[in-house]
Amino acid sequence: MNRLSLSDLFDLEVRTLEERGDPEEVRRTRYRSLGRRVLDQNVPADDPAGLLRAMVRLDPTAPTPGDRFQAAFAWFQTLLGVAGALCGAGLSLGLLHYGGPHPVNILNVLALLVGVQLVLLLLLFIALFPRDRSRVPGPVQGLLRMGLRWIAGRLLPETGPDRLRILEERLDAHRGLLRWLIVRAAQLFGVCFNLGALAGCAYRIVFSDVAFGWSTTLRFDAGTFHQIARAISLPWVWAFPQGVPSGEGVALTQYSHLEGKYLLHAVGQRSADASIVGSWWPFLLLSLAIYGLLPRLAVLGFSTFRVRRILDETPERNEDFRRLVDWMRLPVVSTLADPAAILPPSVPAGSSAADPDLPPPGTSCELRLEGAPNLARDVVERRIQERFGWTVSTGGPLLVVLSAWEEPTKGNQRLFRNIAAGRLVVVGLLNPSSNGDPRLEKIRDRWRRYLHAANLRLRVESL
Amino acid sequence: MSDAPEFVVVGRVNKGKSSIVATLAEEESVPISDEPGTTTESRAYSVQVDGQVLFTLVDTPGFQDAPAALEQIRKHRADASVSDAAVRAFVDTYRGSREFAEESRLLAPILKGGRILYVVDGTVPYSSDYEAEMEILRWTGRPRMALVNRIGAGNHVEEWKKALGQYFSIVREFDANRAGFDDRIRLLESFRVLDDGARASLDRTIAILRAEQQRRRRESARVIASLLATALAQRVELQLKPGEHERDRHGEALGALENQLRDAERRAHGRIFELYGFRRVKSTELSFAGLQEDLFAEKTWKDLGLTHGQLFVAGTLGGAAVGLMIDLAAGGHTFLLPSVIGGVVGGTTALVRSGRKLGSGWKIVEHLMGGARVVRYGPLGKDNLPWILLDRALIYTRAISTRAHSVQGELAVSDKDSIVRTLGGEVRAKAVRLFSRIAKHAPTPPDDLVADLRSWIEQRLETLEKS
Repeated sequence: MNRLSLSDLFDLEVRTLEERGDPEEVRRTRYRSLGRRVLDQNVPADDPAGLLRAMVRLDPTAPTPGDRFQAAFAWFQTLLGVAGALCGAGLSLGLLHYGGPHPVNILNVLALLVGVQLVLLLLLFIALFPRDRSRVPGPVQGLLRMGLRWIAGRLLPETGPDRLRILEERLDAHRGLLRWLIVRAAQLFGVCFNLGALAGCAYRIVFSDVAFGWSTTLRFDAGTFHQIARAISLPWVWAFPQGVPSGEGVALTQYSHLEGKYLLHAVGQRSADASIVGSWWPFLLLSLAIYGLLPRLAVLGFSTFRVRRILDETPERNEDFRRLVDWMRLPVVSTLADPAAILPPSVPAGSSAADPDLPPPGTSCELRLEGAPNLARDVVERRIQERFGWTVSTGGPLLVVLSAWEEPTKGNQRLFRNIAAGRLVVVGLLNPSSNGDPRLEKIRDRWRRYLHAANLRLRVESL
Repeated sequence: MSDAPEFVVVGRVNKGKSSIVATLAEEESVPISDEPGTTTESRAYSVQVDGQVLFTLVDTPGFQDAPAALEQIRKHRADASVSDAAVRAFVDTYRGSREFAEESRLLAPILKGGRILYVVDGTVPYSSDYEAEMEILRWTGRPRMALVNRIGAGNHVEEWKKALGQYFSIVREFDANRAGFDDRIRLLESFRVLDDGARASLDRTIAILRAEQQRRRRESARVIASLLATALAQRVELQLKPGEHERDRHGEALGALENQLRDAERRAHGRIFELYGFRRVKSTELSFAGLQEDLFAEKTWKDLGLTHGQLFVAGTLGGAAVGLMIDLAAGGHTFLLPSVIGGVVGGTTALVRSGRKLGSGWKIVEHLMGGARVVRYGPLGKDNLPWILLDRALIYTRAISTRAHSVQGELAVSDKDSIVRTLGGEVRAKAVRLFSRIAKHAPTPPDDLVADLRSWIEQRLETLEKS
């Protein structure tokens, strides 16, 4: 199964944005044509990601906007990683700089190297959960977005800031893809920061004699402080007991700035045993690794998983892309009509000639029963008697009985040929069911127009 | 001739031949008129996929004088074995002549290999003078089927069937002006029986048309989902003058939001209209996109959408469902308390909000933009708004998807009977949850929410099509 890359997704969004003004049918035909080319490459029709991916790569004009955006993002991540490593190393080297007069306060180091990170991590969790909330990017996200926008603006100069912002929103619409990408980039910064900090600490510990101490203004004895340190070291102390200073070590490293010495040292004693005052370093490195590096690695892994999942699921979950896939794989059904001349109806226009009067009851008429509904002749004659009071014989007016639904076709018109001039012709349109079909009046009118045009003395009557 | 089957639609004038062609080919451009003789030339309509012809329907002029034509053909017919040759000779004799012009034009495509679809009107009584037409068609020796169309109100179908059965191996009823998608497919399936040679091509046609119908349904659902997402997120920004209060512009903001929604609805309906292959009467040009009442008319809000009671139940179920998720997450240790609280909160909120006037519950955010005070109003904050939009969209889509292409005149959709009120409680509750979540994520709801809403609407449309 294929998978969309960030570059593919960006290219799809750029394409969609560019086509925004095109009529739907034009787009559909275009994508069907692209789809047929993709399907010719043996991409399975039931693989939406494969179809979309192959479609954006059909006519490679390297590098595509997506490739350049992906490159911009790679640059962005690299810069963040390098910046993180430099910050971490710089901060740890600065914090562990031991000039001689006073020892390095382990509390300051832990607060700045680990505590700040834990607070930032907590804020990150608050920003990410719960899911159902309209998310306004926080200051860190906002700052990082600005950075990414700046780099993307340099690598995609033709896109323009307004379209970049729209594309940014589109990427976010894919279940917060850009947000998760930025979270991932921020975690990369965090991981590199911790690695840099660990490297800086290790450098100081290996290449200089760092003396650690701790101080407090509060009534806080060494025993309590040791218990806190042990609690912090719970994740590793079971495997590495040296990872936390002993109670004696904690007591021996309590430092008084007032007196300018470790509290338990004798007056005038300048320094303690290096193995005691330096005993905090395993605790420091493990704290940094467990509380700094490990959570960042976990969030990095989770955000990478989320990004992958979003990219994997987008072709199925995004309605715009699903529509493109539909267009690509389903044929365009259309109807093509022969170009043929549409002629006006062959029925003549109306006539203003007045209808002749009907002969009075008792008149005898000649009956022509043509194409009428299958009624027996005597039934029709009875109807004529009821309707006009006429009897049927030969001579007199000619009564042509037709089906009430019969149009004045050429065949029916034949019936009126060779009729003596001046003879009254009555067309009886017979409706055996006598139902009120609205078409009948129109048909009657057409008959009237037809027969008037034939210059006959006639009347059209319902029967 | 290509492998694609060609069906020649023949019959007497004004019996609905062109309507049948228009409906089967989904083609509005077929000239249809009350006046007889509108079709004076045979005209082919090819249904194509990707430019490849699937099948062709040929609209023909009606029989004008079949008895006389039959007489002429008889003169060329020595015995039954040369009946088709006699018909051919008749066509050759009168080709280009004014005499028997219609008969020769309608028979020509049949003699070229077309299958015959003979159309009669089942609402008028049968009469024996049709037999001349049927006899001529039988003599062509081509596969043929009779279609009993329904133009008027009468019912003479059985007498027609009895008569047609003597001349045609297959007789089907087909109301061209009321035929839905399934009727069309059933007719195409009958064509398969008519002619083994066209079976493979027709199987492919049926499969493609089914896929196309599904695509239209899905696409319509997308359009409706997008309309609802727009309505749930809709806001308007107005710049206040010095000394002006946001309350002073309420009316203007409300009017602007209502107009925006009307436009959005009209565009959505227009899109659905086009999806089903209608072009001639532009839905968007009609006052309410073909619906009888305005979106914000009092009658619309009375007749459509959910009732207060249904909104309450939907809100309660929606809230309880959210609570239930918490209960499940807690492994049941919460004794269903979150479900109960969720239900109460959801139901109460729904009740309160359903009684509000439009715009009374909207969010108003004032901010400075370039030194000017700009106020953002919206969304409209009525729980029933998405339901009314949905109701109208479902009613509209049902009317469009079942409207035959032969039907003439402007589109007028009756919007009296609510569809959403007939939905089950659970079905409604799911929509309430989706509406609520989409509103929370406005203005850019995530993909999966819109996809879920689309899927929910698609199911409703499918149910409507089947009902």
